[in-house]
Amino acid sequence: MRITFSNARLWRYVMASVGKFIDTGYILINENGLTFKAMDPSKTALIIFEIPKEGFMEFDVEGEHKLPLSIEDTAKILRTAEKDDVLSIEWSSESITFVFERRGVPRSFTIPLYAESAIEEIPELELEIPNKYVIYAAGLYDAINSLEDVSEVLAVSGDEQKLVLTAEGDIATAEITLDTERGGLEEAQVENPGFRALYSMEYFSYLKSPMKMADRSILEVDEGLPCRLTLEYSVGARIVYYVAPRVEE
Amino acid sequence: MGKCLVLGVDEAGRGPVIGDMFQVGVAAREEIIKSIFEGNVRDSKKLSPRRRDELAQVILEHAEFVVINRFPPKVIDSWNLNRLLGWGLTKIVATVETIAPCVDAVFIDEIKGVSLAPLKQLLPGSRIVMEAGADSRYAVVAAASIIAKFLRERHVDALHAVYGDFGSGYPSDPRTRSWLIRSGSDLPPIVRRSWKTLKRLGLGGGGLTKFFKSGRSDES
Repeated sequence: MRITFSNARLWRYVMASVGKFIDTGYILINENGLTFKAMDPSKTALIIFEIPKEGFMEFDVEGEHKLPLSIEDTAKILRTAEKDDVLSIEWSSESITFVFERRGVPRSFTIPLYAESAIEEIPELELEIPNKYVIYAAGLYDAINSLEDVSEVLAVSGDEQKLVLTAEGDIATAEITLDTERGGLEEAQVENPGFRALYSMEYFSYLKSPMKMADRSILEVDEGLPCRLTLEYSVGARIVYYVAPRVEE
Repeated sequence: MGKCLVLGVDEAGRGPVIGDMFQVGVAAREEIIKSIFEGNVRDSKKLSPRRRDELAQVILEHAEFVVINRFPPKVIDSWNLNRLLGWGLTKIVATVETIAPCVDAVFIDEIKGVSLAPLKQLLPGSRIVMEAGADSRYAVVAAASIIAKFLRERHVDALHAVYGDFGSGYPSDPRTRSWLIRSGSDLPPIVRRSWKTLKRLGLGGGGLTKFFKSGRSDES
């Protein structure tokens, strides 16, 4: 069985980002497409990377397959992915092979899979988040890039027109406002205006590269709730990323 | 060569969630402590562990006095950290004032919210300087930083031997986080229980855990 995806670099950036804070995860492949899931050991963040069947150039799959793997090893292999590389994935019950191909020259890397019992199942989250913001292209990347050095806490607030991202450090305070009228914000659906939610900045910093590549970002957020960040890419690929709220005393 | 000393104060182990914090005062002749660094005072955090250990030996040989405050998690849990360090700072200065012939100056890496008034009372004729980043500016503070870091690292080595490899003990270290998660609610006394990190890690009821759908194990 084999699947082929046109943009190896997206895989590269996703695995490099996840590898910064998670050691292991698993790929699920069935007739509907591929899902990669990983959760950090502290259960503060959970990432789901999905590509529907239609997003693949080739999708030769029967049945359902669960492939538990080392993210560090996978990220090392994917680090060799270049701009024009096409990525194919083949697997057996014991190993997974990544094949990069550019100008007709394939490069193949195989790593062993973990035993299924060695990887913890990742539960589904049950969340209704009342505030949803759709952010243009790399707007979220620009904001996090500007704020991350100021504070280890990201405060998110907003109303029906604007989304305010704030970093309050010991010395400086930085604030970025994305606005439906003035720019940065494509859409705002807000049921709880005036909310203020806090998250650890580092969990947003980890995802900067995938944020930068996204066609658009959707941030769902509310006070005391995990945030759900959806990063959308071409061919239907998307990342759904959950970050637990930060507890302040 | 004058008999007066300079005193530098810094701490290590402020940020970790595991293990003791060490606050160190190094009192030395200024020209001697400067010569150890050969004019290149670097933040002790930028030194390789090996170089730091070598320098620690040299500093311990050449310093006139080294005063150490060691704060275990139980103490850290029951104090505001800056107040604790402020109290420790006064204790170090009072000790050095008692045993040293004279102290020209005291250099301290910044402790937020701490008043220098008690130190000025203890050493009325001395220059007292507290600055952020003092460990990369004043040789005697760099020396205190290196000794504090050296002590903290030996302490962590000893804890690893007893409690297993928990990494650096810093909340940003994945090994530390994994170790804490594995420990679950049965946390040994080396963990700072009041630390916000525990709650952020989900051990205090935070994390994504309480938002998991019950009775389901996977989305697919």
